[in-house]
Amino acid sequence: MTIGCNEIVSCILKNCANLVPGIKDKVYFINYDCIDKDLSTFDTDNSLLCTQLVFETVSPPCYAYCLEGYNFSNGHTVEMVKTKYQKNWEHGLVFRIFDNTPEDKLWIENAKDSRFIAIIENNYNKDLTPTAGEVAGRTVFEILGWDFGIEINEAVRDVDDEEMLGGWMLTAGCSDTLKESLIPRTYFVGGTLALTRAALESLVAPCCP
Amino acid sequence: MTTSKYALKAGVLLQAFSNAQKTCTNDTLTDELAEWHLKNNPQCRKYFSVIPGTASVPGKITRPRRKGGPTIIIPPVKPAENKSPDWLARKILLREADKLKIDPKGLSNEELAGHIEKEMAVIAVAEKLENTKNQLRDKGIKFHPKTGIVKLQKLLNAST
Repeated sequence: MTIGCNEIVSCILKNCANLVPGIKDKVYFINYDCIDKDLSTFDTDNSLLCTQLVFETVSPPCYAYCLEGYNFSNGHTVEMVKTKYQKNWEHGLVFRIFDNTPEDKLWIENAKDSRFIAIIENNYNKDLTPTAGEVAGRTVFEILGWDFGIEINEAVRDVDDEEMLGGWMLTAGCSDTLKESLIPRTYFVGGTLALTRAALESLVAPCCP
Repeated sequence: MTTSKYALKAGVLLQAFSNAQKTCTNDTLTDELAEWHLKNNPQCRKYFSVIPGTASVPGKITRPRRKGGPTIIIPPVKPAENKSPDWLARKILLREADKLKIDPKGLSNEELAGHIEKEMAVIAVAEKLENTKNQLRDKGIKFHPKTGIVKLQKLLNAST
């Protein structure tokens, strides 16, 4: 039998590791135009595994800007969107800013009109004993909005909100019409989590601790 | 962060099979590592943003960060001492050729200039033809779409 595209060709076995929900408080935002898609690479067997994320060489230089939440205040969802002929994906990111300085407002104003990709760090790290095709750290980092970038779809500041206490709650996601073609890509560089962190470190802005 | 004359593009991780000591990012890049990778794997040259002795990655055209911003064109590598007297003329001709989508490969400066001149003449005639047609349309004068510039000019002159 000839295997074409979009056919199931492997098994999913019972996962003995305990799933850990949620994402870390630090999220990285990268302006969509900063990505050098020609030099960024994906696994030859799995287009969902990004093995190198490279920035364009421009002036001023591109950076991954971080946003630090607090006490698991960031959240991420991914949802399939079914249309008449195709099935796409909605990448969602909810993050909170517990402040309201002019700098924060400027950040929100700029983000509101931009498209960006986001790198999130999952709490879940499937810590397997390395075997063929299974390496620890491959479930940690994910890239949202690779195809089109995501955008701010909602920004709310309710000064009377008991949880937010006057902070900002922002929701980012795909545009109304263009949805992502694939699930968020896994970001895993060099075959280990340590090298992935090192590669990410070379992307982050100086303002990021 | 180490200091190096070389620089990698942000996000790049260079690796060598079976030698973990050669793994580096821009933060850990040294001159020795850069030279080793460039020597043993010339393909990785595209991942460098700075290579000493070159303006930057050769022939790379960087896009402006924002709409309307300046486009920075980094010229191909050419050490200053090797520049021939007509280097500047060639550079200007190449720029013009690029605008007119003329392939400059294998053409001398004189040949390239001839091609550019011809192309400019063709464009000038096309523009004149279009202008004449627009003027005739404005005056409500009908003409066949394939009518040449000479006949159209006559039509226009007759109408005035």
